[in-house]
Amino acid sequence: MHPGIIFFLVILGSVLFHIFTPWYWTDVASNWGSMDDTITLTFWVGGGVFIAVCLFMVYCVFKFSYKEGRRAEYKPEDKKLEKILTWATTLGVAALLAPGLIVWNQYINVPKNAIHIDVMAWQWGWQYRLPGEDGKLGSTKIKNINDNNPFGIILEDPNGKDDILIQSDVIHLKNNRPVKILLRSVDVLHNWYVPQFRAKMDAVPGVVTYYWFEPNKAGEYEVLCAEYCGVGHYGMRGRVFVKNEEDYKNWLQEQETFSDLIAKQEEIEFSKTKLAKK
Amino acid sequence: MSEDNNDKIIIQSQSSESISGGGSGSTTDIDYVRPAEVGDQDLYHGHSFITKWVFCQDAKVIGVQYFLLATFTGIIGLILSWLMRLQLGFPELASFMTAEHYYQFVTMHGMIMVVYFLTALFLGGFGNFLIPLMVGARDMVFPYLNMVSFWMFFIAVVVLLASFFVPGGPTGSGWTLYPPQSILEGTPGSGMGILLMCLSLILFVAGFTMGGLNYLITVLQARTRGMTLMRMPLTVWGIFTATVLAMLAFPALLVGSLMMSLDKILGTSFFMPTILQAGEVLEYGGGSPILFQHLFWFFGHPEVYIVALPAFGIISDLISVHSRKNIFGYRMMVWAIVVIGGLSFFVWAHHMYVSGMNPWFGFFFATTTLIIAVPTAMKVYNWVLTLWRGNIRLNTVMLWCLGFIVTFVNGGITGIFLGNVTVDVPLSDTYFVIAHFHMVMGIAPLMVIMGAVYHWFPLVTGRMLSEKLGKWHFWFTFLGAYSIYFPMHYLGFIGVPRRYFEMYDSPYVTSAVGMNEFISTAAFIVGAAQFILIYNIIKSLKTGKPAGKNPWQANSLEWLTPSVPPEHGNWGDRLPVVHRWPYDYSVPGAKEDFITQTTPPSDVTNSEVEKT
Amino acid sequence: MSNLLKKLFGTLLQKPWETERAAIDNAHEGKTFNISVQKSAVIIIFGIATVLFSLIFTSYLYTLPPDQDTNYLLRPNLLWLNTLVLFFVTYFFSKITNDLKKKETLKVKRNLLIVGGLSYLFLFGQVIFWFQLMKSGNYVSTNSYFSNFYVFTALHGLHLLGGLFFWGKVSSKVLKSDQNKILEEEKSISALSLYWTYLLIVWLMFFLMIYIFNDAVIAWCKSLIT
Ligand code: HEM
Ligand SMILES: [Cu+2]
Ligand SMILES: [Cu+2]
Repeated sequence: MHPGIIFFLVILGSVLFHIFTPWYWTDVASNWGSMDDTITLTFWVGGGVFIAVCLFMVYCVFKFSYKEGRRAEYKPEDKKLEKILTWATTLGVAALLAPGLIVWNQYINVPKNAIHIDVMAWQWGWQYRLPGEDGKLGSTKIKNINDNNPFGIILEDPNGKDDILIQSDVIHLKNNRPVKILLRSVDVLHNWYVPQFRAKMDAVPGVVTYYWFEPNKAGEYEVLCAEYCGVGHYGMRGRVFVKNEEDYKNWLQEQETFSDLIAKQEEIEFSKTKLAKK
Repeated sequence: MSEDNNDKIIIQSQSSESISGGGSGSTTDIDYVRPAEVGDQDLYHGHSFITKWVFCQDAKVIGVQYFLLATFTGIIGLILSWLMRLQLGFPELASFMTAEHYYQFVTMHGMIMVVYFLTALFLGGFGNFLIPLMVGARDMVFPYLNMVSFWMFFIAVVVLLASFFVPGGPTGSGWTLYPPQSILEGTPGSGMGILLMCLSLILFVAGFTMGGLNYLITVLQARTRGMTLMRMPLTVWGIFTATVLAMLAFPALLVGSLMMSLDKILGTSFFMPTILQAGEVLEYGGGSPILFQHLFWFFGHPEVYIVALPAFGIISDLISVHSRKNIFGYRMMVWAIVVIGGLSFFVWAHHMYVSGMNPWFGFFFATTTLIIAVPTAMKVYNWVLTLWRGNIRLNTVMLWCLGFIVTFVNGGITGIFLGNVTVDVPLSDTYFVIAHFHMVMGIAPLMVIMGAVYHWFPLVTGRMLSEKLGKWHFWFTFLGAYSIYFPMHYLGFIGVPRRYFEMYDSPYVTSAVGMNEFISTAAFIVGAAQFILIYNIIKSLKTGKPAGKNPWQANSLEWLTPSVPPEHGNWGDRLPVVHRWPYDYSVPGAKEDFITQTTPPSDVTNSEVEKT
Repeated sequence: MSNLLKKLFGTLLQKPWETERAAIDNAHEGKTFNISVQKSAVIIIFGIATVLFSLIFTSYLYTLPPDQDTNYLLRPNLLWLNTLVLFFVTYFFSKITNDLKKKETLKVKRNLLIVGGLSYLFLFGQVIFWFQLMKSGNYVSTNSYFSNFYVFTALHGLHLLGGLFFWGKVSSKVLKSDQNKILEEEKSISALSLYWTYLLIVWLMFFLMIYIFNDAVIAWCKSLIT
């Protein structure tokens, strides 16, 4: 068989695979449909170039395969052609870059009404903290973390008292309300990633990183850790429920605040000392 | 051997630079060249087996040594990839493998393939063999240093492999070695494993620097008469520029490895912030994990081009020779190599869009990254335009070239996805990334290596490789590798993260099971197909068709040595004199469809050379 | 510099396939720069070392703890003395170059010895300073300020030791030989002198670095990157 035919079939196969693939992205469940759009745009432009270059190559292979006595063309360069190609490519690249940068600009500028969520990662699990009535998260310090203060909240900070602590890898989000994910890690790098939301960012020990999205489809989603963090990396999962306003409120009410926790602990402490006295 | 005074090279250079001093063009005799002004090089000639083949100072032998050792590590990398694919495709068959093992294999596979296989093979292997031959030198300028360079590499490999046998095993921190994870419990091999890895890398860099000095100075200062920079084959341009990149990029790896070792051994905190592990606050504090990432990628991105540029150069020459046509747009090709090399130092943080660095950097690095796509695209156009109106021999070498074009364009396009910051956000750290870099810097350079092996094997050994076996080898490898990595992009679209030992209890990735089985099967076949090449080499060494001189009718100097295979000193008793660029194929009016670089003008006076 | 650029870009614009160009190119002697291979090697090594040291400087600025007492350098300490020693080395090297021109080989021999002695003195001083630091409780793991400090001085010292290795080779030859032979060694000696000048420059950069900046500058740099 002529090799050109096989190369042609490879290209054709790639196109058919793309058309009929059962594997494709999950339905987007956040405002970042614009990321899908940039992918789609890149896909068409890039795919077009790929097919064009490869088909041209296949054509050349058929048309100009070796014949005894024929001479190839002698043409060291063609300035005009090269100029056209350079500019065409530059234009194409710019057309891809511009939307990318615009969406990136949205990505790093968080809307004012976003709910802040402290996502704390460790080897290997997640826990969450939401601001209480004051809408502000208390500041934290890794050295403060212990059994009585699982988030390392600085006790003197008044903002921290009413913080809602969720010591579980299940978190609920309010539908159609932007959230700002504030990532922090106590040990190594992690990454809080829900494929359906499209967005991600590493959690880096020592600093707080962030990103935001607005969930817009109620349902249950799986959280995956997307930055290698040691042997337990692949098992570092969690769950997100996107709920409508009412369900979300109910859920929120059931959660414990930091002051609840302190009170509970004091109680335990108190009964312990009482026991000891007896 | 080294005590011998013979190994000193003496080069007299009383001459003045003569780019401008070439008034000789006006003499009536068009063949006239001034006699050589650069004194000849005194070479150390080994006589015993050891000095001839083991501690050898002949760049060609060193090249072969590099080639063989790099291939050996490559085979280890390949076997590791089989084990990983077994786990991913057929976990029930891989019950002997724990997550620790898996991560150690991923790490060693990645590091071996990128550094110890591809880099060593392109620069150490092809660089040593081809540079002196292609520029018309007798050897590298510092042969002794060159020999030391190889043996440093050897020790580096030994240290690397030794880490398989220390307590805790090799490091399992991913080839990126990101701290804090890489030196903390919770990652396999965080004790001896990571230290040996750092040590091995430091040795590699030290050894490589010695080799690199040689490549650079040989290319710049020790070419033969008539060999201007713009008359060098693109292979030399590619290797030369890649070496410059390596010399500037490897220090970053060195600093990173050194500081990380200190963090581990002396308890410094270059990369270590305050850390709480297993309920205890560790003694570290104040360092920055992101600093390591900057250092790593300041090395890591140019590293991609350290592999790619020699591949670009070699493929250009192969396509040109086997299309019987000059490479289209030679100057553009040289500029592209230089520009890509320069720009590659300004794009490193595109690997860190979601690393938590200042997000404003995203704008800058996305822009530079997409700019670099332009010269890269120009190279691709020029390759296919070289085929246009050529006279294409569809032999094994050309098949590898065509395979390279397909896989490289594919991987290059997905690179535009990942370089464009927004598009990268959903795709980074998924199998899309794995598919992308395997296509562009795994498979594509592999195609080049294979093409180069089939092309230069006759020069190295004096015998041809079997075409028939070569074609089988090609189709298995190309079709197999393409069917591994093309579908893998779609796993990435689903959102399957990379470096996952296992993933199937996820509700939405269950559909990937079938694909993973298919991919793994293809991987086993591709790996096994490489043994066709080994068989081919062994068989051809004994019974292959004698190659004779210049079997491909090529123009460049390496084919024009007085004896084939070339002997120590390359050129017999007279250095070649270069009269033209290496791409005079199918010149109108010439007797044959190629004019070698040493052919003086008088032999081809009736040919008209078109001017543009 | 502009010459170099002109040469580089001029070269890249050549059209090697044209007949007129070929006529010029045929006479090219195969060398790009008119310097010896030894000197080329030294220059390339400088390139590598520059990258290496700049990376350390960068990481130094990057991880500096904000509450660092950067003023301790102002107080008299051994570092000042060591810097002075390095200056002297460069001074003696310039004398050597002059004497070589004047062919006063006896002086060359003596000064070469002085240069080596002073370099060892410098290294010795550095080690003493390390011990002083450690005695005052500042170890390499104390904080990233000192981590970088130790690493930089160690690498600088290694770099110097590398130079001293070649110094040993050259000067053992020079000391043994007579006038004419010494003059033949001029190339190696000038390469050495270049090497030491470079060492001094790197040292001064470092000295300036740990000295001029203050917390405000660092804070600014940090905010840029993270
Ligand atoms: C047929 C040949 C190959 C197969 C089947 C293969 C397979 C794999 C697999 C399964 C992984 C791990 C994916 C994960 O769990 O995240 C991997 C990672 C990797 N491979 Fe390959 N590979 C092959 C050839 C190559 C080559 C030639 C290179 C050279 C560039 C290469 C470079 C890498 C790198 C850098 C990684 C990343 C390691 C890490 O995540 O730390 N591979 N490969
Ligand atoms: Cu993880
Ligand atoms: Cu990169």
